[in-house]
Amino acid sequence: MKIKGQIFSIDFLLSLIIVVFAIGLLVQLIELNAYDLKEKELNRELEGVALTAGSRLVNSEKISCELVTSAPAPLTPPQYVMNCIDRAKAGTVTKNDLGIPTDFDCNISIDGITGIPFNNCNTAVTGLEKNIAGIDRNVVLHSGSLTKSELEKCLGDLPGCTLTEGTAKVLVWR
Amino acid sequence: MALKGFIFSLDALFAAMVLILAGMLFLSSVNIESPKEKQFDLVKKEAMDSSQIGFLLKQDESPLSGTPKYAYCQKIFLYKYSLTGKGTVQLKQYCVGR
Repeated sequence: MKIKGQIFSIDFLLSLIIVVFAIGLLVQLIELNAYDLKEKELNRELEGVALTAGSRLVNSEKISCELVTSAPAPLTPPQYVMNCIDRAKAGTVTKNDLGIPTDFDCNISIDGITGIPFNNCNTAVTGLEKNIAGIDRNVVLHSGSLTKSELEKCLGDLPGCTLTEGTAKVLVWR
Repeated sequence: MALKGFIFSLDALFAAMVLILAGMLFLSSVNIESPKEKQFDLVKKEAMDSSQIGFLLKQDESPLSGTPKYAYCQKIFLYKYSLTGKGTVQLKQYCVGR
């Protein structure tokens, strides 16, 4: 009976140690997982804001080129050209127009083209930001409203097309 | 009786292993992210941009090349109006693959 008791207690002790280790490992994993999930949630939110801003940048009437008659005279109801950024509107477009919450910072630039001031979305990237979400959208640029005759030149690949191609880079962070 | 004690510890060992494995599987299943939808969404947006720019600037169609992991093609039907008679329908397809 003495031997039996000895064996039982050692077995029990070993099992207990293993169970304690297992529980410790699990607790650690759960802790890491909770942190990871929180990070992912924040990143997902950031990506969502960047995607929305990118979509609104190419769709919103607040920044899109307005299509007017060759005269030029506005159309009723007003028509806007998707993926066409009006340089004149870039300075006045707000974060709200792009669906970016006020507590987020943003920077919009057009690759290879300077002199388009996105006044409300031009915070410089310092490199100290924790996470930045970005999206590229292919766009064409135009200064002011787009007349029917100008559009026809571009659609027909005729000389005198005033649309220039560019890539809009939208960066968002908090 | 010594055997009984051994069996008990082996059971506990198995239980601990099962506990660890179950916990790890559960946590890894929570951790698994599906980047497919995100990648596809980006490719889709790029193709839609390409088709719109292609339409505005009368650019050539962009066929799908190679065997990309994610691909999306956007078709544009253009109706060419003719003053003299019936117009013609033209199809353009812009594809983006990654």
